[in-house]
Amino acid sequence: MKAFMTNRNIAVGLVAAALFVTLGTYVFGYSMETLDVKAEHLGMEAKSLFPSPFPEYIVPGLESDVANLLLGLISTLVVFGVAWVVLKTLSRRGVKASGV
Amino acid sequence: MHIPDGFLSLAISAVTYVISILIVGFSLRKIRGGLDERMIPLTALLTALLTALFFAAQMMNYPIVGGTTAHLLGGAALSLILGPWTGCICMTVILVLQCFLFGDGGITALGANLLTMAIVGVFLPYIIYNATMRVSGSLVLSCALGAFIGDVAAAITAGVLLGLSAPIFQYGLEIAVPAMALNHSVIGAGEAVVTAVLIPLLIKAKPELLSLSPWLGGQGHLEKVNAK
Repeated sequence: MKAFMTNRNIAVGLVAAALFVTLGTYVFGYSMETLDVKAEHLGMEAKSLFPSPFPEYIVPGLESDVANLLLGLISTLVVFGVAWVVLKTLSRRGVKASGV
Repeated sequence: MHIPDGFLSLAISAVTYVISILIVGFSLRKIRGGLDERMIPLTALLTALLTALFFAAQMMNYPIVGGTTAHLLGGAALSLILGPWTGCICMTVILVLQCFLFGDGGITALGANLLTMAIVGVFLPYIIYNATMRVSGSLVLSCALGAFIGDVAAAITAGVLLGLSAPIFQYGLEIAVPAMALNHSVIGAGEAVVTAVLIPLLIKAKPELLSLSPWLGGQGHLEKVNAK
């Protein structure tokens, strides 16, 4: 794994993620999942008890593709950062707990 | 497949929260105890990178049947590459951020969404992969079957939870389960193709990436697969 996790490969992975976000914004952005359709048939509305800052993956008040793309890119980096911190924190605790 | 607020009964929300917290907590304990200290920085980076990649991949929606769309879940691939415990945590990070940042999945349904996508959708592909590999010895078939069954089972679980929440969700089990299973079998087929292409490619090109997976990376399995 050491040989693989080079700065270059990490950059390639993040560029691939950015490509997915770009395709998701400009080409494959329309979303109507099975549950949405069934709920629509029933006249049910998806209520959100907790007001999320970016509902439906858009920046409120800035509803353009460029803003959506930027939001997607930034949130991908946030996911990267959170997952990294979780693993690092957990691992360090595990090492301490096992007395290594 | 993300269930929003207002679709599940209080009892189903509570039970799924308890089950998910227990299993996610157990996964965290397994990761804590199972890592080689020297590999921690690389493991954390690889896990973060794959979590970000699959989060981004979930933003791409493709059309399926009846005017509906779907996106990859990635539970099977994460499970086979990183092992099911780490895969479960990756999906948990994705689902929690999707819930709180984007309102994708309700906060009262977070337990249910974790149960379907981070637990059933991650652990079942791993179990099916192992069983199929033992019986058939075919890597491609095992990956495809694991991904397909994992996806459909996750959808069926969501259907059962919704059906059991009637009359809050107005369709009962007899409608909710087949509807979810049918549409998600198309998604499962796509997931099966992606997983069956991705995993053998990784094993051939970058076998060191799979060192976190107790099945794919351990027990001399890679050597056996490569020898075929």
